[in-house]
Order: sequence, then structure tokens, then C-alpha cells
Amino acid sequence: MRGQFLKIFLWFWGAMIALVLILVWTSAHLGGQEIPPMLEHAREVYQKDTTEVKNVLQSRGVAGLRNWLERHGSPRFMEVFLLTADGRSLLGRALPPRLRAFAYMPERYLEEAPPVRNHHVAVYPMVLPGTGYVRLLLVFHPPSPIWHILSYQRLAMALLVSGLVCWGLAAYLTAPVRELRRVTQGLASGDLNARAGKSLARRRDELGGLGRDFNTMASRLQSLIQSRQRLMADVSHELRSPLARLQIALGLARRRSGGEVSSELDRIEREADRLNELIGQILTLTRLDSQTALASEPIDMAAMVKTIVTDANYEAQTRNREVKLVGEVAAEIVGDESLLHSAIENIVRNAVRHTPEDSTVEVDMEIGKGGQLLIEIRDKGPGIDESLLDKVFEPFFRVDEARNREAGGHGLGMSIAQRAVTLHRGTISASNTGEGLLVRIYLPLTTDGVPELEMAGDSVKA
Amino acid sequence: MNRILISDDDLELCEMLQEYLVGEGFVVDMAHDGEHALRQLSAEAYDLLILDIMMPIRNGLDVLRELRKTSQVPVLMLTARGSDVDSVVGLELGADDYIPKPCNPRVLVARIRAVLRRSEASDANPSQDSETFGVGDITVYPGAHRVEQNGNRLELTSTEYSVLACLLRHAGQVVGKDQLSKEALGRRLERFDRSLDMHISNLRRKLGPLPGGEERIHTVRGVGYLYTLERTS
Repeated sequence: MRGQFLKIFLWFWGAMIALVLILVWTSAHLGGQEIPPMLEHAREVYQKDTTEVKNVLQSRGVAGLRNWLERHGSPRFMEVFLLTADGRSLLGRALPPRLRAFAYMPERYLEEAPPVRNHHVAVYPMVLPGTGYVRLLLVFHPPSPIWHILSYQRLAMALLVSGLVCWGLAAYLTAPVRELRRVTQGLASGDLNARAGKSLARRRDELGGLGRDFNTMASRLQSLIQSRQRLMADVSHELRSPLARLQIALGLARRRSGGEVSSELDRIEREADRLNELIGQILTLTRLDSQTALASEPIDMAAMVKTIVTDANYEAQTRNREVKLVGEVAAEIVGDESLLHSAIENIVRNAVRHTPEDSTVEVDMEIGKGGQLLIEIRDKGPGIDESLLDKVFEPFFRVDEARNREAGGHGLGMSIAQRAVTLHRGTISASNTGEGLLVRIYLPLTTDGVPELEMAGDSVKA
Repeated sequence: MNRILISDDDLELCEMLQEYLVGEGFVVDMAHDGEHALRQLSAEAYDLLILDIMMPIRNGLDVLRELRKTSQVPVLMLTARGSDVDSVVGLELGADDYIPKPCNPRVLVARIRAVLRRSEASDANPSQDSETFGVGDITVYPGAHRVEQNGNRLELTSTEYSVLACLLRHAGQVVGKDQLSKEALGRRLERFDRSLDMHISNLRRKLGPLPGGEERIHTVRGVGYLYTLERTS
């Protein structure tokens, strides 16, 4: 962004300076009728010097003039030549070829002599005692056209003004791009309400159009995503009523059958429970997707992780697997306890589901980078294909259709975990260790120390 | 024979539930919207109301708010699973317990019995610990299921009464959440179940602070609750 800004700024500035120079040059060379102040000044100096030089020559002769010139140096806007009747130069400097005509030009033409390359030449014939007839040639050197209007102050002024103008211009051009970038990032990170600001949308140029188009696109995207979420939530809600009836009907059937088909009824009940759980998960996920605020109560993370590990281990042992807490650290986090609990539980359950028989799922707690709480869950399963690793948190993600269905996964637990951790300003990532899958959860801790019971409420608000 | 009113707009569900509950030995009536339920409740005497939150015309929370102005009849709410807000608000309004819907009918019956047991404990059979006892400005009449504060009767639901009586019996000691849940709610507390918290906060509101300005019921985080004995200075 900065690079773009600087580039545009320098380009425009350079272009403006070049423009000014060109304007000056053309006005001086093509249309310059009026005499700018610098030229006026040069004329005055020239007139004065002319009188002076003539006086010196008349009163003190050729040697006197030479002396005078040596002492004063050559006058600022003037070149002085002194020629004898046969065209010899008397002041030591040869006459340049372009002026040679003036040495021989008959006197009557001298008055109307045209300027030579914009230099006015004045010729004064005179007779000096001892030397005889001479011609005094004075060549007027007006200052360079650029100096007609430019002085150091003016140059500084021009740089400052054009610099400011270009700065403003560059800012004007890059600000909307910055704004667009900000809202794009917002949208990409999941803030569906991100819209380009009014200042951008009001612009009449292409960038304004782009801003308005962007807003239209964002609104469309928002309504699509929201309608998808609403659809999911509505479908899940609608599924509940038949499910509620199904469960009552199941109860009635169980009573009437008198234990005759109880294993089938158990099976129906289990499937109904599974359906119920799935619906609950979908609803949780859609709620989390639209949720931004969070219940905030202090949570004892060590106790929570211990409970999860104990419960998961109890379940895992019925399937000849083990869950072990290998590291423990006291940590407090402010947030929604049930949400975080289910997040970590989902990951641990997922690990148990994929770890092979007679193996151990390890859960580790430590204070990781930046003083955040790091919870690691390692299984000994097959891991996940590297190319699919970043998809593991997407809803209904499956690595391998057959295997996963057999393991009973329906791919929402990880998504819920990710949303929950993100809501707590944490991060979650999955990687392969070579032995299995490793899920890392980073969660920012509350300010150091665990507050006392009485202070717990206050510390939350702080 | 306990009389139960089911208030739910799902007719088929109501009918099946009625059949199921009749099989369990209850007398069951049905109402399919809030207005109907309120009319029915004022016309007849019920031992328990099963109240669905999502109903047309007047939703369950409305009905509950209206009902509690005049009656302390036990209320068991049916809430949508995952909607914690409904259950919290319902308990705040004075519901005795809630159960997420869809639910297993056996679990529902267990809840119904637990709620009924609390409300009947006093009415019918004064139990062994039915002697009147007092803690500070509070007097408990277990026989009549009544609590008085400075001689004024407090309007408590039967669940609130059970919770308070349990805390008062152990006044000055911390009562664990599990113990309180078992004694007062008649069931084990599920994880992240806010029922006890809500009943406690209702009690705090109805009782006010101790004369000394101190909170009557302290929450001991992660453990349970404590009814504070007034310090005699």
C-alpha cells in the first residue's frame, strides 16, 4: 500500500514539475511579450554599465578600460568588445564569428541591426585620442528565461505547493483502496456486516463505483450466508417436532410390546437420540456462527480438562482405548464454560474415535507462546492427509467416507470446537505428528493470578 | 390420582403424551394454546402444569408470568434443546423445573414425579422433620409448606420452598450443589444445569438481604451454596 502511495506521489510530483518547466520555457520562447521583472532589472544594470563603460573609454582610453574591466570584472549582463577600424580586437579577446559582421557593418545600418540569437548588440563608434577610430561592441546577455520567473524562494514554493497537491492527490487515490482492503479483510475474516464507508460509496469516480459494487456484493453474500444458516436452523427446528412425537410413540410401543422387540426398540431409540444430538449440534453451530458476544465467567481450566479426560477415559475404556492427562497447569480463562467444555470434549472424543485399539490419547496442558494456555490433544490414529488439514474444521468434513461412518463421526464436533475457540479469541490448528493427529488449542489467559471467590465477579468486568 | 394439564400446540404429541401419562396413572387434560391453558387452570385444580414454551397466541413464558400472579401450582417447562435463554427465563419466572424437548418419556415421567413429590411432601403426609423451625427472621412450617419472614407469608413455589428449607436446615454450612439438587429438586444435577442458580436467585430476590444488609445466600464457586447465619453483635 505504501509503495503504491509513494509511486503515485512521485509520479505526479515529477509530472507537475516537468509541466511547470515546460510552461516557463514555452512562454519565454514563444509568446514572451511582456517583460518579467528579472529582465527589467537586467536592462537597468545593462544601461548603467553601458554609460560607465563609455565614460571610462572616453576619459581614460583603451588601457583605462582594460584596467577598469580587470578591477570590476566583466559586467553581469554584458560582454564588451573593442574593435579597430580594420576589425582587430583591442581587449585581448577575439570577436566570436557570429558577431563579426558588426565589425564591418556600415554605420548607417547599425541602428537597425537585428538581435543575434536574442542577444542585443549595441555598437558605438568613437574616435579616441592616440588610438583613432574604434567601435565599442556591447552585447546584452539577458538572464536565462527560467530565471525570469524562478528564484530560489519561488522554486521552494513551487515544490511545496506541488508536493502538497500531489500528496493530497495520492492520498485521495489510495484512501479508497485502503478502505476497500479493510472491508475485504473484515468480510474474509467472517464479519458479514463489513461494508465500505460512506465516504467511499459517495464518490462519483470508478473507485466509488467499486465501493458500491463491493457493498452490493457483501450484502448479497450476507443474505446468502444468513439464509443458509436460517435454513439449517429452520430445518433442524422442524425436525424436532416429529422427533419429539417419535420418542413418545417409542415409549408407548415399548410399554405395549411387553419386552418382545426390545432390542429393536433400543436400536430405534439410539438412532433417535443420535438424530437428536445431531440436530442439537447443527443448532449450536448456526448459533455460534451468528454469535459475537459471549457469556463471561471465570473458568478453572485445569478442573475442566481433568473432568473431560476422566469422562472420556471412562467411555474409551469400554472400547479398549485410553485417555490420559500428561500435563497439567493452573489456568483461568474468562468465557462461556459450557461452550469451551464441549469444544475440548468434542476434540477429545474425536481423537478417541480415531485412535486404534489399545492405544492412548494424550491430553497436555501448558503455558505456551505469548503466555497463552496451550491444550494439546494427540491420538495415534492415521492422521489426516496434509492437503486436507485445513478443511478438518469445516462442517461435515470426512477424511474417508467408509471408515469415518463406521467410527460414527458426523463431522460437526470439530466445527463447533473451532467456533467456540475463536469466540474466546483463541486459535485451533491440526497437524500430523507422524504417529497420529495433533490438535493444538491456544486460549488467551485472564490477567495473571486467579481471583478470589468474592472478587470473581469484579474481575470478569475488568 | 394426580391431575396434570399439558399445554402444547402439537396435538398429536399431546394425545400420545396423554396416553403415556394415563398409563402411568395420571389424570391428564390438554390445552393447545396459552389462553386455553390459563382458562383451564382457573376453572379446575391441577397438581402440575406441563408447559411448552413455543405456543401460538400466548407463549409459555407469558402464561407462566400470568399464572404466577395468582397461583403457585408446580410448573414443568418443555424447552427447545439448546435454547438456554428460555429455560433461564422460565425458571426466573417461577417454573419448578424444565426438560428439553424432544425428550424421552421415561425421563419426563421421572421429572414429573420429582416435582410432584416436592409439592405433596407437605400437603399430605407431614414427614418426620416436620417440626417448625426458624433461622433469624425466617420461620419454616414444613407441615404447611409455608415460610414466613417476620410473620409475613412468603409466596414461594414448591421448588423454591424445598431449596430454601434445605439451605436453612444446614444454615451456616456449605451445601454442595449435588446434595441440594438431590434433596430439593429430587434429581441429579446435569452439567451446566442452571436450574439451582435460578431458584437461588429467585429466593434472594424474594427474601432480600439480611437485616444487617448482608447477602443471605452465598455462592461458593465450584462447591455449592451457604445460608449465612446472622452475626449477633
